[in-house]
Parts: sequence; structure tokens; C-alpha cells
Amino acid sequence: MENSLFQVAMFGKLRVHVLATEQFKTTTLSLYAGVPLREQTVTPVSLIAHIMRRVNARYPRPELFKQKLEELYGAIFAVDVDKRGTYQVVDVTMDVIADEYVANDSEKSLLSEALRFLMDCIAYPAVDKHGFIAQYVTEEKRTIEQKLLAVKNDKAQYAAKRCIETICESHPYRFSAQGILEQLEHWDGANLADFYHRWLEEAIFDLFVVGNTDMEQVLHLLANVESGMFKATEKKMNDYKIATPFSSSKQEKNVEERMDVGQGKLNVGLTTSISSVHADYPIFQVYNGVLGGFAHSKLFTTVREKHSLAYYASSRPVDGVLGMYMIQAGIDVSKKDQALKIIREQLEEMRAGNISELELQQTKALLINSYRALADSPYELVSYGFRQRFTGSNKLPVQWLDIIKHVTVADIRRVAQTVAIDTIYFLRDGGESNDSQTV
Amino acid sequence: MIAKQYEKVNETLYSETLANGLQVFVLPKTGFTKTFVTFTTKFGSLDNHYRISEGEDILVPDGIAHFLEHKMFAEPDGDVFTKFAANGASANAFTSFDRTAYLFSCTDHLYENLDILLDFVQNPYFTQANVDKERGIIDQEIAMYQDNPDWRLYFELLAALFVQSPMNIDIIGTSATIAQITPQSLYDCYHAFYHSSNMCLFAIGAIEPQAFFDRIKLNQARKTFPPKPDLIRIIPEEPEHVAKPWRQIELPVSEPKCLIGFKELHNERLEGIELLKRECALQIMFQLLFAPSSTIYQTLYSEQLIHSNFSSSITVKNDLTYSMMGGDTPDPDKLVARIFELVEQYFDSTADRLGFERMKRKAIGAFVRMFNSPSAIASQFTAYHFQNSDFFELLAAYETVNFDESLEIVRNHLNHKRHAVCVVRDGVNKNGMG
Repeated sequence: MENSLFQVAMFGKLRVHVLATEQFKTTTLSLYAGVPLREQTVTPVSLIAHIMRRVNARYPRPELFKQKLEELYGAIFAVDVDKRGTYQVVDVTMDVIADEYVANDSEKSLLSEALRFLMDCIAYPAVDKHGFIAQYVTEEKRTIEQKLLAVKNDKAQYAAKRCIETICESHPYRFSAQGILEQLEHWDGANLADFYHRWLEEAIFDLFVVGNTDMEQVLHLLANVESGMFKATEKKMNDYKIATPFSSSKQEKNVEERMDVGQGKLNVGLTTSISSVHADYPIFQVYNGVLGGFAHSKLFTTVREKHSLAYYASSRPVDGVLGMYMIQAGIDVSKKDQALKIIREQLEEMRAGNISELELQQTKALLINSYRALADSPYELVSYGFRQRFTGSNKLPVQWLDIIKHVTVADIRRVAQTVAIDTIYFLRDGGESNDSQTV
Repeated sequence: MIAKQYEKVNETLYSETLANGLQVFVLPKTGFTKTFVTFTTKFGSLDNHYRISEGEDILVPDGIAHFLEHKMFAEPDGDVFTKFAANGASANAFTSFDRTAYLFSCTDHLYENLDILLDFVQNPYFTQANVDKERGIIDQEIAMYQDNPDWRLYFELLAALFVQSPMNIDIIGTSATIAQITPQSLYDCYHAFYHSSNMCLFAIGAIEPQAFFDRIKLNQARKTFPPKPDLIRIIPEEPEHVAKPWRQIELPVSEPKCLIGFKELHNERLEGIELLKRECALQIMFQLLFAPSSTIYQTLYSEQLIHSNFSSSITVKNDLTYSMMGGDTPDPDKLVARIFELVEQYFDSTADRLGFERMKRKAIGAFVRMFNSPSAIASQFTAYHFQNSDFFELLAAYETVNFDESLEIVRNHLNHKRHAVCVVRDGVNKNGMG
């Protein structure tokens, strides 16, 4: 067994991670750029990412930009902005067909073209003499505004967001990674161009590559396309600093809001001191699996199967680093008290360690299955790789599942004592009287 | 066991039809850890009117195929999810217009999981108590979708497009229709539509084909199967025109949502390569017209009539084609008018042959990429198989289509007379937007 999934090398201040494999018919490239999540910078970072998605200096019009990707046999190009703990991370992903599966008339391989395209997007944004091109700044401000407002269209997503905002009253995690509506108007092409240079300077960069290639080739291609932006600076190499997890407020917060909906959305926000860097995190994963991660879990079998109260009733970690955790169920509005009572009972069952051998065995089997299955998806591999990088862990999937195999009911019971309800959020019928207000 | 090579994608598909009529397909994936198995019956929401040989015509309540899918998971000795979980398999199911699929994926205990899948789908167990209990769950599923503006937009548009075809009913039914479902009506549907000869099993992943076939045969040999029922599906005649050209519903949304749909009945039933060619032609032309690289998309974007969630889709069935395009917009009326204008302009402009070849490349790339996703392959293969087409022939079909023919096909398809528009708006006109 190798001792790491990805081979790692430094290219200036860019950390390059390569997983050489012939398993897939594509090569996947992901460039991650992380900066601290702050009220003052969350909006321009998102705006830059949105513009980066549409144009760069070589392809300064969206049609040309998209046509180039189509020529590369429809290369996937996606830019995501996300929150992780106390960081805001931009992830630019490309995915191109492996050269052996297409008749390529060009001398350049699809991989080298993709890498150039990806690097161009970061290093050479489309600018004019005023800075970022005004048209695209305006259009993408509008896109972000639309995205922020559209959260309410998906009621489950909206309820989860409101619950998170309530848990994170005074933590930057309350901001959307897409930005802050009220701050959009502050940004124009000129100040965004200034900000862009500060962002480049500050960001921690990681490039992940999965496909039929190797480190030598990737470094060679990088040397050909790179502009010097990753030149190692005098400053010390940046690393992600992991925040301490939330501690729960002493008193449960209760929020009820109304909208013109038919189904009620009950979200229970919880906190735990077992964050994703804690040695007990694999135990917490088993805890989550027994409580609500699967169709055999306590929440599914009680709220849904036994009492027919919901179509979905489950639990999931919201942010591993911050120890934020959530239970959600879509229920009849008149059944809130009954559903909440059952949820509390299940949390109590976990604390009491009332977990059968079968529940434990099923949960472990499914977790082990998902760790094994990682290996079949380039995207999952990249996202696993970044998660490891972010948390400073070098555990292999096989090591995770080894720990999981040995988790006992006593372990889960111990972890269960750290889980506490922070916020109970309920979205119900009745409309109008309230619209979302930012906390 | 027949082996069929697909050289362009470097894959081999193994197949066999068993004595009981069940068709089995296996696609081994070298290097993969996971195996994905789907067991699918050709029974969906469209199959709502039928008879068995000389028997009476039966019209089933809306949503019964989906209800049956939920209830298949009940067994006398408990819930099937539990058995799969014990073997580390993650299981699921879905119901669409024309099929119901049961599936699992696992990285271990493949044959045990295969047995569980075959056994639970081939062993219906419906009681008054378990049917009553399921109603509460499905009522909440219906309530969830009722609050989902995109779901509503999609099904309301289909209802606006189709006059007679059960395409105009929601797959999951309504609270009132599922109230009519009884254990007996579920058994009737089961016996009509879940015969092995109406089903298909597709497996992809870390599999040794011969051993896999042997295991299925061993399982099937333990059971007795009734003779194939003489199933007659009663399919209403769908007229050329749409049911309702404009439909509007009110739901809490940040901005109106607008979807335009086109319906086209085929002159003759399309199968095999002919169906694939039509699909390829329309897919490429829809990309040329509406993809983000198109003039139409970028014009609408700059005119602030669409956002990045604008999209288009095309569906080619044996007897008809329908398509949709739309997304969030501040002004649905203007968006619809502009789309028609811009499409006309496109048809009047010079032939975009280069663009056509570029889009062909994009489509080929998307096809090859799909082989990274076993679950997508399984679902697509079965969908095409039930239409008497071979999904893996798509690549060859893409290579045969040309610009001029495709332009003619899309021009015919986007006929103004056969379109409907559906709009979701916020019920409360708070900000007085026009």
C-alpha cells in the first residue's frame, strides 16, 4: 500500500497533487484557492469567481470562452465558491476526455490545453484600462443577487440556511459564500481589479490532477503555461489554520417563520466538539450513520417508517471543522411537536447508547462502502484529497475504514455526550407575516 | 451469453435472455471497486390504462406505479433497506413516465445483494396496514413537491402540452388519487407489469460476467414464474395541438420562472438507430440555439431576461418528441417573445456548419465522459433499451448526422402552433414589479 493517495510537489507557492490512474476516460483538474471568510472580502471573492466563469484575457467574450471549451470535446469547466470552516474557497474544476478516446487534430494534448485554460482563468482575467470589464462586473453582480434571493425558492435549502444563520449569529459562517447582497453595489471594475491582486497574494493554492498522467508531466506542462504568479515569495508558506469548533449556547434557540408553503420544514441545528480534525471524528461519522445518515437509521425508521410523519428525516454534518450538525424533516405543519419529540427521543437513545449490534454493523458496512467507492470517482478523489489537505490529515481511505471497523457502542455513547441542540428552526405555512430577515 | 464490443469506448457488453424472459446485461469495468445493479420494469405513470387478454379495461389511480415502488420495499420479515445495509449496499428506487427501477451499489457481498434485489422485487407483500401507513409518507412527498417551484413548473407545462396522453399527470399522483389505492390494486398492477419478460437487469462495475449470470440463474431456478400475461396497454390518441397554450401558477418565488414547451408527434414510430439519429440531430441543434456559447443565450443574458439557470432539454420517444427551455426571468412575456424572434433570426442567418461540428465534439465528449459514471450508464442504457434502441450506438449516430438535415428537423420541431408556456409567479405582488 502506498502511503498517500496523491503524489505532492511544490511549484512555487502552488501545491500540486497528482493521482496517476488509467481507470477513467477523463482527466480531472481542480484548482483550489482559499482565503479567510470575512465580511469585507466575501463579496468581491465571489464576484471574481463569477466573472472567471465567463471570460478571461484570451477569450474575452463569453461566446468565445464557451466555444473554446466545446472544441476541447466539451470540457467541463465549473467554478464553485464555498465555505469551509473559517475559509472561503474558490474551486475551479476542469474535466477533459483522455486523449486516447478522441481523434484530436491538434498537436497539443487536451490535457495541456485544459491546464492552460485553467491557469489563464486565474492568472489572466479579462480586463480593460479601467480594470475588470464593466459589463461583466454588472452582469455578475446581478447573477449573484439573483442567486442570493433565489435561495427561498427551494424551501428545504432555505430552512437549512436560516437555521445555520441562527446558529452562527456572530460567526462569519453566517454569510453566504456567494457574497452579501448589500455590499454588491460597492464594487466596480477598478476596485475589483485592485482587490484581485490582494486576493492572489493571500490565497492558498492547491492543484489536484486525477487521470492518465504523472507528476513529471504536470510540472512540465505547468512550466510551459504558468505566468509567474505562483513564484514562491519570501513569506512563509501558507497553510490552513483550523478553527476550534463551536460550543453550544446554553439555551436552545427557537425560531419559527412563515411562508406561503404547504409542508413544514423542521431543522434542528446541533453542535459537537468533535470536529473533523478530532481523533474521534470517525466515531462521529458512525454516530451520524446510526442516528440519521441512512435508510436504516433511527430518524428514518421512527419519524418516517414507524410514524409516517415525513418523506425525508435525516441528519448530516454541515461543517465538519466547526462541529456544526443538522437534522431535517419535511412534515405536516400540525405535526411539529410530535416530530420534535421523536427527534429528541432519538438523540436521547444515542446518549444512552441504545444501539443494537445490527444498527452498528449496518452503519459500519455502509460507511466502509462509501470510503471504498471513493476510488471510482475522480471528483470524489479530488474532494477527498482537498479535505485531507485542508484538515492537515494524511490518512488514507483504508485507514479511515480501519478505524470505523473498530468503533464500539461505548465509543458512540461517549461522542453522543458532546452533541447538543443549538437551534430549532421551523418554516411553516401562513405566508407574508414574515420574510427572511438577515440576523 | 452474448458479448458485444464497443471499440470506440473500449467496452464490452455481455447479455442473455433467461428462460423466464428476463433480459440481463453486464458491463464489466476494469479497475472499478464498486458495482451498480438496476432491476427495472417497463411500468411507469404512462401505463395507467390496460387490460389482460379478454379481461375488462382497467384504469388505475394516478400515482400507483410510484406507490407500488415504495411498497415493494416491504417484506414479511421487515424492511429491505435493512438487509442491503447489513451487506454494505446502498439501495434506492425511482419511478418515471415509462419505467420503475430498483437499484443498489456495493463494494462487497455483490451476490448476496443481488439475491436481495431479485428476491424483494419478485416477492410483493401488500397489506391494508402497510398500504395505509405508506400513504402518510407519500402524502408528505407530494406536499414537498407541491412546494417545489421547479417541479411544479415542469409538470404543469407537461399538463399544458398534452391533451389525452397520461404525460399530463404527475408521476406521484395527488393525495386524492393515492387514497384510492388498495392492496388489491397494487397486486393487479404487479401481476400485469412485473412479469420477468417485461423487465431488464443491468449491472456495471467490478463484475466477472459468467459468474454473475450463473448466480442470477441459480436464483431464478429457485422460483416458479407464472406464464407471461397477455398485457394490452390502452394508449389514447394524442392530438397535434396543445391542451393549453398558457398556464400560470402562484407560489412563493424570488422571481418568475418560465418554461416554454414544444410537442411534436412522429409520423411513424421510431426505433433503433432512427430514433438515435433524430435525438442526435435535435440535441446538437438545441446546443447551437440555446447553450451558453450561443448568440441567443448571450443576448438574453445581456438583456437581463435570463440568468445562468437558463437551460433547454429535448426528449425523443418512440412516438413523439418534446422539448423545453427556460429558467428564472423578470419578464416571462418578453422572454417568450424574444426567444421566438431570436430563433427566427437564427434560422434566417448563414449556416453555422462550424458550430455544428463543434457541438458534435461536445456531444461525443459528454458521451465518453459518461463511462466514468456507472449509475448514469445503467439508467440511460435501460431507458433506451425500453424504446428498442441501443444507448451505446449513440456515438455512431452522432457521426452520421449533418447540419442541413438537422436544421430541417429542428425547424419543424420548433413550430409555434405546438407550443405551450408555463409561468410560476409569486402570489403576493409586494414590490409592484410589472
